[in-house]
Amino acid sequence: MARALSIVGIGALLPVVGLSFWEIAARAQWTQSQILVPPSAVFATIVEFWQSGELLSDIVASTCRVLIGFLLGGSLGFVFGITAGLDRRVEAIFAPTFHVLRQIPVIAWLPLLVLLAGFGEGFKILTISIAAFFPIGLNTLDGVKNVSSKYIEVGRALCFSRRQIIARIIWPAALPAIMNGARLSLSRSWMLVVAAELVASTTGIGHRMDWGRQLFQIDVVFMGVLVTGCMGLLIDVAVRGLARRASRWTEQA
Amino acid sequence: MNVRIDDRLLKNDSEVRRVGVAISVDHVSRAFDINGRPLAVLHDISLDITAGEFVVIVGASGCGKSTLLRLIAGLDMPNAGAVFVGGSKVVGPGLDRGIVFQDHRLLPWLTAEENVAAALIARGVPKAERLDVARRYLALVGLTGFETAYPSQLSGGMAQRAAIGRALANDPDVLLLDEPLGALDALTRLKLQNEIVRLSAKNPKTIVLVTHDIEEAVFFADRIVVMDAKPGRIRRIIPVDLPRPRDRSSPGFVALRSAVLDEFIDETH
Repeated sequence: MARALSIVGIGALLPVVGLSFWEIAARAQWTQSQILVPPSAVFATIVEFWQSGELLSDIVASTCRVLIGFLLGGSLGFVFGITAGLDRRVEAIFAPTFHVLRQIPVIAWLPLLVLLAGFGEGFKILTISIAAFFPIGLNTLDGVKNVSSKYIEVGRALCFSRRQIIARIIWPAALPAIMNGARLSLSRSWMLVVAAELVASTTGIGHRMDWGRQLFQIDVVFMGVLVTGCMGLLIDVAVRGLARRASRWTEQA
Repeated sequence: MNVRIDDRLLKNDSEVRRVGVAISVDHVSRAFDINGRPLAVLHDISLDITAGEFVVIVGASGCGKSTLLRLIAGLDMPNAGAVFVGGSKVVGPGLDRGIVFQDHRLLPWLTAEENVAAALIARGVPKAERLDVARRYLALVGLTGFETAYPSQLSGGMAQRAAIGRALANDPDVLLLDEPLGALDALTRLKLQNEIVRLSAKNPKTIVLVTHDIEEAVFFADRIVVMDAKPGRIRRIIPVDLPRPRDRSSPGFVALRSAVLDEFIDETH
């Protein structure tokens, strides 16, 4: 515990030093304080928005979109990865297209998606779904395909049915890769919700940042940046714990 | 080549065959496609193994000895000929045959007892009973106390013991061992050799073991099958009639070991 704390302490060193320097620079008027507002002002803004409940409702709005988009796109990606990983014909049909599409940054879809789905909820959910689809799809596909033939042969030697080989050998062997894909998908979803809200939204963290930019309230923009980073980290830490549990057996092997 | 085998050590072949034939390899050939060209790995192999017999297959690497074992296991199919186990033609793996590979191949996400218990899944044995049987077989191979250890927590020798337990868990008629001790250090190998002898005395089975260790072959075998490479075929079958338990330093053992070794060296010309 003490060791964990000291690691956190070391990790906190850089931000603390950086923020202090930033604070001093802003107060000493080395920079334009309207653009590079001091951290103390950003912190005051965070407190203000938290007390008014606006910050929480922004976080809730963004989080809901992430969850819906992640569940839709993530489960589609999962289904794609499993079926294409298990069946060569499915892979032959879908994988080439998949590998081309996954090269396209999701941000590049945004203009097209706005035209396609308008400025409503559908647009944001669609964007996040696309962001969530590819990492879990790719990792599941690779995870299922890369299961050692030696383990599958063990299943054959023990007279497992196809179903038993899938459920008892391929699934547990591929699970660490699948969980890693899910983690990446969720993290991408969180990034893209902010991007989508910056483009077109009336709620959420991204919208709050755009609003701050338009009113030239740079402290609000910084609040958005900070909250985005912290929420992303929170989500990642939570999922990483789950992913570790699924892949505990790979650690010593 | 001249064969230097003391005739007094030879067992009469017809005597062995009086008991029922457990495994019959009948004019089997197997070729693999290597870069579009067929490579003959086994050419016209025929071999009868009697029930309860311990047959050891030796040969240089590439002689197809492991392929032959995989054909008996049903993990691979011949291009010509057929393999019969217990009178019926092998068309795939079966629970009448237990197999141990050179690498233990325990499933790393399962504990030792779950790995052994996995052998009973295909028979539809309920889980609690599976684990019961698994613990019994772990005790049999000397792994009491390690039931809930994961493969990564076991030493190489212990993991291979567990793999042997898994192969035995269905009480198969035939035990197929594909260089099971090849990856172990010398001391662990000696221990496990004694262990296999103890297990096979306690619960007699038809055993086919593939190895390139001549001493191991003489230690275990009722008959040693020496194979030639390119394409793999049987060069000679050497019956071993030494009394059991075998003493590695007895004159008979030493004489036979060097005789087989000579045969082995001739082969590589």
